[in-house]
Amino acid sequence: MSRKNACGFRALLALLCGCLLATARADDGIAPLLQQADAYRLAEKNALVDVEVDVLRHGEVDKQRQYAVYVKPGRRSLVVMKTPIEIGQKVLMLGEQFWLLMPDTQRPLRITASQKLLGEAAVGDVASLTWSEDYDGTLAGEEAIDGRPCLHLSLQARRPVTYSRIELWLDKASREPVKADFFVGSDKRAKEARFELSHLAGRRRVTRMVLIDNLQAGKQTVVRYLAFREHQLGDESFNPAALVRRVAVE
Amino acid sequence: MIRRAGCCLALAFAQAAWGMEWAASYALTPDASRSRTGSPYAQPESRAGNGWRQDIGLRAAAGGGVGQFNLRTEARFGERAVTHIDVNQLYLDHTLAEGAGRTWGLTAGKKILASPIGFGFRPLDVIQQENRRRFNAPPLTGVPLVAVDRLTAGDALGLVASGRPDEGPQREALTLRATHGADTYEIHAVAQGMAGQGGAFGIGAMGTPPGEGDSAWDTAWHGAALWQRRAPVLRHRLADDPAGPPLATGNPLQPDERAAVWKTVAGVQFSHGSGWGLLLEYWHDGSAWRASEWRRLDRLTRRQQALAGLAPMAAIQGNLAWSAGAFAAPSLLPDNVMARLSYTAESWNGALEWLATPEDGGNVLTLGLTREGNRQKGQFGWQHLAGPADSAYGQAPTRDFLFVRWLWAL
Repeated sequence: MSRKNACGFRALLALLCGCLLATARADDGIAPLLQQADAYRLAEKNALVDVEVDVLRHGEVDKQRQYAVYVKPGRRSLVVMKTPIEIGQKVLMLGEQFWLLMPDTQRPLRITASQKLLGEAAVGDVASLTWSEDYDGTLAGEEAIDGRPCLHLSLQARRPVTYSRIELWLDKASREPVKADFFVGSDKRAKEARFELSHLAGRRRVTRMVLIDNLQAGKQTVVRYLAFREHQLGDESFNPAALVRRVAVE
Repeated sequence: MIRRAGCCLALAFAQAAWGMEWAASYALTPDASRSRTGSPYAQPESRAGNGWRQDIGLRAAAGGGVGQFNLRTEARFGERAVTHIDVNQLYLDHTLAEGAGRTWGLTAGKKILASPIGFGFRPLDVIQQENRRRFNAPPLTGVPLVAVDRLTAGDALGLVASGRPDEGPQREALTLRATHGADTYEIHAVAQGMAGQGGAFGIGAMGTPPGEGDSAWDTAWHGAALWQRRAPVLRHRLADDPAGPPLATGNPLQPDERAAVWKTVAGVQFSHGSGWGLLLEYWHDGSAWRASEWRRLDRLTRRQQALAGLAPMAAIQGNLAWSAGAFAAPSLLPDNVMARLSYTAESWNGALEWLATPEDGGNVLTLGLTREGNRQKGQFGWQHLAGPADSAYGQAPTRDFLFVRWLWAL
């Protein structure tokens, strides 16, 4: 190796080490950022969230849906449909496994991630994602979103999940989530989310989320969080076999 | 107007007073069918195949109790409408004990309790025994039962004592059901003892391949097998006795049993984020008629038709109509393959399904379209039965079925 090449190699090595150190430092600082951002979305560990969803097609409201979403640590959520046309339907999400129960047949059907993404209940999945538990990240830079100074975080899933990558923008001062892009395994952007916050259930939190669907052109979903309350369903209620049992508080 | 407002107020009061949740729906379903010209089982041309059905459904729930009722009115063209009430489900789910990560639950009443494995055929459906081949079927009706279940986070064990349903060949039975859930798959097992029919044992599984998430297509698989010591079947007593009389004075299709029957299903489905889905499924139904049994029925039918002018036409047509009852079986032949292509787009979904019996080349093509709004749902369904003239589906008395449904949910 020539002297010139050796110098170049050492410079490259130093640059790589610097990058790695920078990444390590960013990773160290990312976890608290994500925890703060998560707290704006779902502060309660065990919660019952009332959600109203408007599905817009080319700007026009195509349908409206109401859900009760039971959330439990460990990426477990149970979505109970409340809209008259869907009443009695449930979607159970355990990590990356999903089941759908139709009231007419009472069969807890295992569905794939793609099938889940096609339904409005998928917003329950987006809502119950815990960024700090499921993703590692790096600080990609600082950007202004709609004139708001934001930290741009690039998140990679720790294990196979529906959204393998998330690009997340947090308000620089308050760490409130402002925008997120959700990417599926093929690295295609599936959804783009905008977050709006206000005071609800005793704290400032995300109360409205606008999801722009990139898989279905012209589709936009507005998610309104109407109520949050601490509510603990037992582990056994998140068993697919329990879907055919009536949850007394559903 | 005042009476209507009073009813609304009374319902609202009942809901508030009892904490009862309720949902109601109205569905109107006109339907039509076309007979197969040349089928030995076809009745003389009439418009009786056309008609309509009206379903007024009510679902009410309070605490752990659920009631589902359906007021159904059916009419065939030129006939009087018939109205009756179905109690589809009426049950109570009660928690006996819970703690330490497990729950003991009791269920009593009339409930739909179906197996989740299989689409065109479900071998482990030993309690509900839904006929999956029924087209434009009315809402399912549950089975009277008492069940005790033990549920943990991943497993379930249940003992079900069930009675005779409103229709179907089932008798009183005691069924043990177990489910074990792992991350990417789940295993289901059943053991059943049915009055007069001995035991049945089955096992099945369904899941997704590990490592999913990196492909644009998702895959899911399922499979199940059931062995029955004696399975209920229908036997045609005239067809089974070629030397006997060709005409019967009562329905010659009689319930019977077949020993040591296997029922199996295996399938795979692919789904894409764009909304496309493909399901491929094979099943073997050991309780279905074999090709030789259809041929015996064909020979009998030809003998019956040859009696025209020698025996009363009403007797001949009545016998042909009884024989046509054989086409209502869940599987017309033991071996079946099915492919289903579906597309889901926002409020719309459509599916094209092709079912075939390779043994005789018979097949069924079904098209379904659904449009779902906030309170209204529209459905369209068309089914076409085809195949060689000597195949079971190819000589079914009805060639095409068609329905449209409009549903309004309150």
